Amino acid sequence: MNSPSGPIVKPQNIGIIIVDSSAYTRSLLVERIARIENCFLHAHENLELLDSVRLPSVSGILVLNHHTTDTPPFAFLSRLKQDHPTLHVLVIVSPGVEKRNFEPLRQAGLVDALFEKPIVPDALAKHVEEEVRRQSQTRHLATEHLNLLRFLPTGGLRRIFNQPEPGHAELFDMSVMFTDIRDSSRHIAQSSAQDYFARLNRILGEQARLIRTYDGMVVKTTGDGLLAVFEGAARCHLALKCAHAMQASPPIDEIQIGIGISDGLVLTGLLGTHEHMHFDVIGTHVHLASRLCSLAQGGEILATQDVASRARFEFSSAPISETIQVRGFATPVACAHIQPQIKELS
Amino acid sequence: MKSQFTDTQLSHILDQSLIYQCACPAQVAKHIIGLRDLFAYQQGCLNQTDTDVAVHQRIATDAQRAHAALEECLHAVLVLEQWDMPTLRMPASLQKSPRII
Repeated sequence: MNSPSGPIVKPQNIGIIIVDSSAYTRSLLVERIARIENCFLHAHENLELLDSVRLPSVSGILVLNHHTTDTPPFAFLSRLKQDHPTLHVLVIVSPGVEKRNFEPLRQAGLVDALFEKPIVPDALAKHVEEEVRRQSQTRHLATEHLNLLRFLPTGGLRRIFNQPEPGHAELFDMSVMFTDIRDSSRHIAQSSAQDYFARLNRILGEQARLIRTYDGMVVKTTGDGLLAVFEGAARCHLALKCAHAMQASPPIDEIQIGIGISDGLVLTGLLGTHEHMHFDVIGTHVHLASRLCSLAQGGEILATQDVASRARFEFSSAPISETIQVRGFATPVACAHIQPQIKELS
Repeated sequence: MKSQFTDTQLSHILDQSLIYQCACPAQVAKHIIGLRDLFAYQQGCLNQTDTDVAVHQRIATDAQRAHAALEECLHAVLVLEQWDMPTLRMPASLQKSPRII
């Protein structure tokens, strides 16, 4: 499943379609089922008026009161279940021959429930209520799942979540990127906390969007910046291209950022307890990317020379190589200063 | 099995009532259908011993008697409630707060 990119999704009420060719019995059904919560009703006189393909996607239940004089609905129900396999089809039918005609449909899964006339209204209502509750829960879970995917790893990293146990970890070859706002203390001092927070959210939101665009994954926000990772054979190229796109964009509200990138084996996993877990990445290259980010000037990308070489990226201005003694690392690290030219706003 | 009402007629009576609480003829119709099913089932039962034969015959005979009695009952009830006998249409006065949707 792809990660969602649209707005946050909200669960919807369950649509119930009532089909009954008799106005009288249709009114009885509507009257009773209308009392059920979290649903809305559509009542129809016959199935021919229903377009199986154009049925609203929120439709969850079809209640068909079949009369002896009605056209047999078998072909329609078969088509309906093909188009809407999750639709719960409930048929009310006379006992005896009429019911026996519907039994094969129930056995084939085209009808989910058969009610014999005369019905006990409370039993029918209870069945529909339970189905509404079941579908609401399913939709709620699906919605939650869709919304949670925004916070979860993409690509191969997702397999971490196949074993959602605290402490479960795996090694991945990854490019690690840190971004950080320069002079954040000054910016905070110059504006209200709320205003700064709103600007920070705009900046980080735009960075996250670019990271997604270049197939990266935001691991977490780090106060004034982000920690992101990129996987796969083209990870260095994608990470650098992403960083380049960030720095080449005119800075939001004149706020500049620094970016650090490193590449290598990183331990990824779930930290915490069963009550609270979060995904994180740990390793030398995470530290290195973080240090390089701190050292980068505003508007600059400071990557390891290894990343710059493997990226096979066409830089707008030639990178400046420098060997830097990075705090916490025994040997100096060959690095590349990259300063993309800011694109003019069209 | 002799019958006054066809299966379709019984279903038609049931179709018009829907709900148990306001469907006395429908309840009778339902039991008539049940007796027809019971009778048909006995006809199809295996007879391996003499006792089997006697059991199935006894049930079939009594099902027929009960069926005839309930059909008479249904006819009487429909007349009492002033159903239109040729079409077996329920009188509008028996409909429970009809509401056209």
